[in-house]
Amino acid sequence: MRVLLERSGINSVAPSTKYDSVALLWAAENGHEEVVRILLERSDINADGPDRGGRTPLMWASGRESEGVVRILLERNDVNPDKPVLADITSIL
Amino acid sequence: MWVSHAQRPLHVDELCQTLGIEGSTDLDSANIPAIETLLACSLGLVTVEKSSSTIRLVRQTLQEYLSNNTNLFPNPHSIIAEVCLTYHNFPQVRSFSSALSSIPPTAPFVEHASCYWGTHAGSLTTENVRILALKLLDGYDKHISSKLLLLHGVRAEEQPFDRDGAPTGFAGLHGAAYLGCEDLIVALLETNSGVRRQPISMVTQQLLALQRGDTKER
Repeated sequence: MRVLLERSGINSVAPSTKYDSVALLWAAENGHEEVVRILLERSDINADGPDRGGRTPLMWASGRESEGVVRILLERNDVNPDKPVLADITSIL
Repeated sequence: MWVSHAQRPLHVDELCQTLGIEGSTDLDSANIPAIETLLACSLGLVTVEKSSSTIRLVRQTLQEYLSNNTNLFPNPHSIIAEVCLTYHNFPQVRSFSSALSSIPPTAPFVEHASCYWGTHAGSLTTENVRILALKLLDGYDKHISSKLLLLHGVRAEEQPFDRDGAPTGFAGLHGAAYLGCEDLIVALLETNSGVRRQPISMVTQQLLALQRGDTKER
């Protein structure tokens, strides 16, 4: 199936699926590095996409001290570790 | 196998219900063995811890022996995952409201099955586990197991519950991501496609047919 999707050039994912970006938060929350990698491979997933409270995957991962996931996220150019949340604290605090 | 490989000690009523799952198509109290029968069959190798009503092996050395001799129970975690998922897909278990605040008395095993099926399924799932898991994960936030998983592992301020106490927006992909089930993530990302949301087209039909073919080959 994956082969057919690639060959036919079909966009297998609806644009800006919030559904998929939230999955990144949950994988980060529980420190599943491989799942985080799989999700980040997808172009439609925002690596810095916040939850409704403004907390990003990096914040979820650092809140649970998931060091491996924090490293994966910090290696990316599109993740801002200094992004403020509503209460103006940063994830590393 | 259940006593030696479960993620936490099972209560008497949990273990008894577990042993009545295989061969059943729904919750069936007639199929649940009595604890006395179970203990008699174990030839004295398992015992009930009276203070907590949990089942354990009589000696730690027996646990070590069972853990070291993996040929005694081939693929125990896949089998446990399969049983947990079979249970979740029983019509009566599917009919429980995800807003329930306590475990239904007819389903004592539902909490254990909800919290640990993903750990037993692991990142690489067998075909049977994948089929059963995808069935559970379809409409996951309507299933009581998603609520029990969130209550068990997620801090209260992060539990996505609505006013009635039911999970909201915690879909199958989110559950699989939280549990770390890589195979299921890949399967869900493939099927949760934009193509599928559109009216059935020739291309969609071809994709679905190909997917069914994949399943058979595995």
